[in-house]
Amino acid sequence: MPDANNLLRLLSAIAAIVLGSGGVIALFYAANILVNRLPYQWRSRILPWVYMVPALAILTAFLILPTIRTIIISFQDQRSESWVGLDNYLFAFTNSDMLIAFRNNILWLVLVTGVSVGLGLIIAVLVDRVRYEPVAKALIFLPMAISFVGASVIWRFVYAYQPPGIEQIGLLNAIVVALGFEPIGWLVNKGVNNLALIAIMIWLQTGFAMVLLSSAVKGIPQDVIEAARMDGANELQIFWRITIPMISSTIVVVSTTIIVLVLKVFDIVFVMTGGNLDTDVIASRMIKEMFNFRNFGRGSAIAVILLLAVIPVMAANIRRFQQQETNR
Amino acid sequence: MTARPDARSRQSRSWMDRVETWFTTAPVHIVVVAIALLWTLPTAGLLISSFRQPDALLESGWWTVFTPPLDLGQFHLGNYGDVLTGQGMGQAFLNSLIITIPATVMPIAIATFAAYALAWMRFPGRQLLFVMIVGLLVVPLQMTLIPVLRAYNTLGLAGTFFGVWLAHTGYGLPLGIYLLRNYIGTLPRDLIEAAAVDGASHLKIFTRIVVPLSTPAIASFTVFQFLWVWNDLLVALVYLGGNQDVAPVTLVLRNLVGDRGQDWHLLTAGAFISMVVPLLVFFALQRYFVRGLLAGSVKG
Amino acid sequence: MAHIVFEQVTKQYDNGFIAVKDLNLDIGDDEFLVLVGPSGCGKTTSLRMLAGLESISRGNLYINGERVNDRAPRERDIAMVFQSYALYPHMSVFDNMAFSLQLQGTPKVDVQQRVQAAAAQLGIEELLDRKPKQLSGGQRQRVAVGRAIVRDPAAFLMDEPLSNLDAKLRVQARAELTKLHHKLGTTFIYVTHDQVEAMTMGSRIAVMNQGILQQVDTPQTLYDSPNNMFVAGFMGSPAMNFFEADLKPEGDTLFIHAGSLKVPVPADVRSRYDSYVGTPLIFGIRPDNIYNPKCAPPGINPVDIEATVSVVEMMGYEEIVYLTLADSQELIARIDPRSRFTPGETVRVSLDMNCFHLFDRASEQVLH
Repeated sequence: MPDANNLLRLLSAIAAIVLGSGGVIALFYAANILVNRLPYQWRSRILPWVYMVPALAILTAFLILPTIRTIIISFQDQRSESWVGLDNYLFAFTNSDMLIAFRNNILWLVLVTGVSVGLGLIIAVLVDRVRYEPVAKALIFLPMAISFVGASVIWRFVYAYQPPGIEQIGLLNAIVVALGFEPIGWLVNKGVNNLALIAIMIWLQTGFAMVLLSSAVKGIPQDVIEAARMDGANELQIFWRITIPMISSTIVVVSTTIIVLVLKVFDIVFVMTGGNLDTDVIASRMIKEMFNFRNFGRGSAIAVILLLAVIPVMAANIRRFQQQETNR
Repeated sequence: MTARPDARSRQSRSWMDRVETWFTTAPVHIVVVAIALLWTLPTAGLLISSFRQPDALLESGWWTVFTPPLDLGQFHLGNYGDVLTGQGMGQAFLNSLIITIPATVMPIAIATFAAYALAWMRFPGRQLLFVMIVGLLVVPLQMTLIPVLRAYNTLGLAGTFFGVWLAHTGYGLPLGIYLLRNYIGTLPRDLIEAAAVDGASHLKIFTRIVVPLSTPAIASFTVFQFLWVWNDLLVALVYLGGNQDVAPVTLVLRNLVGDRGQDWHLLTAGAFISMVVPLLVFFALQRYFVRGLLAGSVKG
Repeated sequence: MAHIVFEQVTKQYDNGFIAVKDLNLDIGDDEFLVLVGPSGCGKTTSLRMLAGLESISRGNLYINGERVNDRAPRERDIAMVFQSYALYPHMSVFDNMAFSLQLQGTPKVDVQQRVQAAAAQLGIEELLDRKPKQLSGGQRQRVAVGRAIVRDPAAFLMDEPLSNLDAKLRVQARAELTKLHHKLGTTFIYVTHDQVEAMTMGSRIAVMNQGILQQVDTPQTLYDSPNNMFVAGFMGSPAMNFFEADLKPEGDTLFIHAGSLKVPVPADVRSRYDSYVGTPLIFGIRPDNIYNPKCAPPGINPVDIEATVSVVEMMGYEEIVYLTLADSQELIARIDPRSRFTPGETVRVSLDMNCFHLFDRASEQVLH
């Protein structure tokens, strides 16, 4: 019986996939056939909208209207029944848990961005000189394919804690004990738990920074480097005076991208500590307000704060991306 | 007669050179290898541990498997069997596929049609529409969770695959339209017109000319969207809620961390099951993967 | 076969720019009509309106008597060869040529046969399996033409199809297209900025400038009797020499005065110009109508003038000579290569007064 059950599941899975994927395409074909029966003038006016309307409808339903709605809800009470003015925002900026979240977020932003970009840059420059470059790069870039949840499990294992005296199974504590110290509760010790979470994000993002910066480093014309060498610059001077200035725009792009990502990340905190022990960040607070406390007003206010924080960075990023596109 | 001392000095100099090069390049090798190793160890530890006996896992570190003599008997596949059947990871894997494939195909289809219209069809307001779509890139999806969830609850879409497909389509569309419109817009105008003169309708131009020529961009977006949906926790958590029947791998793994946080044999195997598809995509389609990630760096 | 009529056709863009203004043009069934003019003159826009790639702002366009303003390109039964060739890069040569037939739903066997036939005609049979990327420029151009003839359309439109070829190939391709036109006997409409292509290929030439049709005629008529200064200056290389001039009668003879230049109007045509005495005019004469008196052919009506040679361009079969008149006006002559003029030398040259042109200086139109 379980076999038949499994087969049924598999069949319904395939049916769902085919229906979901094929349905959209069938929709376009059907609409197109209908429109093609109209005279040319009508057709040329209607056809663009046949192609556009599905996209516009979904964008409106899932992004435009909800965004407006969230802004409205952020000025209402927890069940969206009465207006409370700026109360939710006041809460967001005065509540002690929220203030900790803000502090943590700043810590995240500074450390993740700084370390990922710095380390990524160093690797990008160094990896250019070794023959096993593709392998090294693939290994460092690999974590990008892993989900935040998967990464969290990987690192929970690295941080695993056994009481002193029992053999450590976590890599980090094993090293600590081997060096003659007491094992550390990486995720419960308030002095280090935030850093432990931040390290995960650094592990995930360094590869991204490296790949972008590496292609920028390779884009520096060889003759410029050679000219600098002829002018008597040593490797370190070339790095600071030629390489860094010439890839500065890529550094900015990578940094802004990581900043936006860090602002929105909630998964790592959610899975690792649930935001307990002073590890909350803005994005995880929002989920907490929404699910645990059922306070939609406060949740929305935090989301709006997130939006306001992201907009300037994203705007700069998009402008840059567009310039890249036109220069291509 | 004079050749010999010359040759010897050249030889000794090249030997000196080699030592010198070694001293200057060794730090580079050490740093690169060290970082690559450091970045690989956590994942490798997880992978090795997932094949160890549950008891052994709790008694000794995974690195001890390398202490000689190397005993292959200490490895087994039992953890995978346990987590796949006992913890519902098998169903979750299927659910992840059911969620991810249509949630990738739908935005691609819709975005490609829209991108073609925005790039090559004439209609009033198309420039404005494109600017608006680019503007939507900045909206973090947190901004939409509460209203969409409420609407889903009223419409009965919460906890359904269809609801998640639509949500992922919505969140993926701005990036998809943006990328594809930029790419399709750079196709030579002559090609589109030649096809029109050759007797192709818009649909034929689209399917026979534009789509085949846009495969690099479509592939990048596909890889990006596929991984994004597969690795997503937030959307699944919010819109699927507690419905275990439809939960994807990320959600099941997360619950496993919460419920069985010390059962490392389940966690390691489960985590690896959740990672296997993205890792395959990573190795098989690395070129598109990188390109997709670069392009996706503007996603909101 | 297609009889194409442009009737007061105007193209005005959204920003108000008028690309083509009140175009009237009647193109016969088996004509090779060349649209020629400098870039931005509206020739390509006219072609694209005919193809249906550009909407028509005002006026009517008829193909075989039917108004086609509102028809999609695919409903007009025309083929087009693009300047860039616009070969589909992801399709083989065969598929490129078969594409339109496949879209029409032609049976596979017919498609195969017609593509083979067209390929044989153009000598590209061995290329059918290749991708456009693997072809040379000349081969691509043939495939583009092949893609058009496979369809057996009512009319062929060509937008500068030879401009991406090197000089030698271009001459060869020119002759081949002319041959093709004779063989197919279908309407060809050909856009180019190159007046040599226009002269050599067209059965009629339509000269356009700034969106306005200047003159439509056979190549010879256009060359011999241009309607206005633009046509006169555009057709022919080196371009016609122009001098600001006046007509002054002296005794029985009417003289053209242009600075130090003073030449008599031949008696047989003088009556035409009597009424223009005192009007500001332009005197024009082509470099080909200037001769070295020692090598002048019979039958011309020579008037000798004196000039200083400044530059000589020896072409082998002719000599292009840049001459300076006493009042430092310049003119270019195309003379017999045996002349061996040298720079600095003062020479006598003959203007053939059977072939001169007079234009109104204000309207730039030719005097009738």
